[in-house]
Amino acid sequence: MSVPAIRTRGLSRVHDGGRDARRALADVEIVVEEGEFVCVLGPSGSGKSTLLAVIGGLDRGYQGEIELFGEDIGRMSDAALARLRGERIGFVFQHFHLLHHLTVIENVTTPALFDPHGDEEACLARAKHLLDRLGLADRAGDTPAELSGGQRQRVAIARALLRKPKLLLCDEPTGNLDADTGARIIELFEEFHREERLTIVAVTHEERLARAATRILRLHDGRVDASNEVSA
Amino acid sequence: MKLAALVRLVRRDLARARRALAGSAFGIAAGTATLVFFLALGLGVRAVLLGEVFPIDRIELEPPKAKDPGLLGLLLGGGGEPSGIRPDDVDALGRVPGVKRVLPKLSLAFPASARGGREILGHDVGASELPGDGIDPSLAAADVKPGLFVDPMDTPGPACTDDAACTGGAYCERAEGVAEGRCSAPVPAIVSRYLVEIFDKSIAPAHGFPAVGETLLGRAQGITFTVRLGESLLGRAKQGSPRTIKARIVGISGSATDLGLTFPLGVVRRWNREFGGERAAERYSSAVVEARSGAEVADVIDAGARMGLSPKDTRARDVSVLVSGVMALLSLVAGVVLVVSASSITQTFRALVLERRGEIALYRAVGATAGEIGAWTVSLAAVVGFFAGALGLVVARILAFIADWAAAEKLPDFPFKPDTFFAFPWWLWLLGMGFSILFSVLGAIGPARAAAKVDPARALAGS
Repeated sequence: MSVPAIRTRGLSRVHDGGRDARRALADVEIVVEEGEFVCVLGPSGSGKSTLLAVIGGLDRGYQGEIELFGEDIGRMSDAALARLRGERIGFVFQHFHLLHHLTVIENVTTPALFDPHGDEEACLARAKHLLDRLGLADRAGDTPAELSGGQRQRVAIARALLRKPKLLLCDEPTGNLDADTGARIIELFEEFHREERLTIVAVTHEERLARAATRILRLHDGRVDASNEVSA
Repeated sequence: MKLAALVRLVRRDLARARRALAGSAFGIAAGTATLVFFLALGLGVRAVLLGEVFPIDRIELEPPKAKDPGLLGLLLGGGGEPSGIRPDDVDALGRVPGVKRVLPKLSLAFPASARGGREILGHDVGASELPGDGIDPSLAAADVKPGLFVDPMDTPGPACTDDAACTGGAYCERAEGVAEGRCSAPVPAIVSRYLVEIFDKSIAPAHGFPAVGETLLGRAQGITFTVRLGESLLGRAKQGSPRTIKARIVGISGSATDLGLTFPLGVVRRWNREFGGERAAERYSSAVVEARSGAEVADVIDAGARMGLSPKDTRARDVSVLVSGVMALLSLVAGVVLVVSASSITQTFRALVLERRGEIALYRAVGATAGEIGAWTVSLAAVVGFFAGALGLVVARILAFIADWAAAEKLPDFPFKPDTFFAFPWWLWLLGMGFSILFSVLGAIGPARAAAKVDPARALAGS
């Protein structure tokens, strides 16, 4: 029996705001098998982004348990968790988070800066291959300011995939894009999921991205609504 | 993170935030320049004071002074003689840890007077009382041409009964009661720079004589004196018959006695035996102890004290303490400048970290550890400190050049006026650079910790 990519048990997260403490996640129990494309749907404020940050090890203020590929990340040191993020997880954000003082190729190779075993030439070749596959080969020397929104998100996807992660965590990846560009990005996710057996967890409030997923989870007030779990 | 990656990150930062970093580096550069300038000034001044005026790596130890006999003692003809330093004590001093060598001195134990100087001054001048010392010739080896400062009787001339029998400026060296003497070249003598300075600045102007400083150095072999042994204005020696010998000044040396003439040790021992007796010939009046370093002089003084010997001159120690105190004060001022500069680094880096929270969060998301984020920030500060330090060192050196030039041009001539008031040993460059980097890094530690603690989830959500 294979180890799931993600398993949470009694996962809760309370954002401490003094008197205004707010429960973002409450007793979330989910299992995502390797190779799944899971879409977490929910309205704004339902805890989707918090779920992604917690699962990705960016937010450690949770209660409960999170296992990634069989390892309890709550027991990991900061350095071990950072290594896990670098080696096995790729992030795609709604706002792209590209570094505007760098060129496209420099942005894509940013994760390699923190790879203690990385080969610079191999990394550069991988970055060029990804840019070529994402249709940006001729924009490698440009800065993000010279790109459209869709191109920026493709650069962010290339960056997320540079170190060949097993898990891609996407936070509203089409939220800042027009319909056509968003559709093209969704196609890319489908391609990578299908061709590279990439496990994808995307949180969104857009139904069109959900239609591409193999499973849909609905989040409401920090709770997963099991009755509405849908398999594609 | 590999070093190459860290270098790449820092290089990118230097390029994109050069204006902000240059602003904070300016303070560190100013602090480093101040520190190095003051330290170099202190070291330079101390080198002149302790190297030429009051040498500190050598100390002269002397036995206790003769006891005050009191009125009754004087009436009874007492008065006690100085105990002197026995040859055994000299050997014991040589075995003290930290001692490089011991060079005993023998003062003239009889009255003497001198007259001469016509070659330079136009007519003879005299000293009615001539103090003098005998030293091991090796003490003056660095200051006098080889072979000049030696006992002439090491290579005696032909036999003689009076000066007329000797030629070429030689005289007949013949003690009382000896039937036949030997012709001898004039006895070599050295004088102190201090004596020359006193003559040039005080005596020469009062009598209308030319200054002899440089001239004396150039014509050292030409200045001959006659010295009357065993007799002076104040009286005669207890034994022996006064006689006249020839002496020649062969150089200026820091080893010479401050006031008077300094002769080779063997010559003075012979004269003391003739005019003062065997004890005056064998008991040394003092011993110059050369320590391996100035820091070991204190141990030498302690060892000497256990043998009943005390430093003849404590000015060197006093000057050393004074200069060290002034240097410490000036360094403190420079330290304050550096601390203030470090706070400027703190402000700049705090602003940079605040401005780059999103970037830091992204790095954390793609695999950077908190330690790597901190190391990146501190490394950037260290590089800023390096460049600021280099600038500070250059500025300090330029300021030293300007100060030396101004001193040479504007300050009147004074005794021991040096060509440079500054010393820049190799370790001072390293120290300046080290302090610059250290204070930059210290200033960046707070912001580096803040950078390492950036909450990636919150920072990424807030962008």
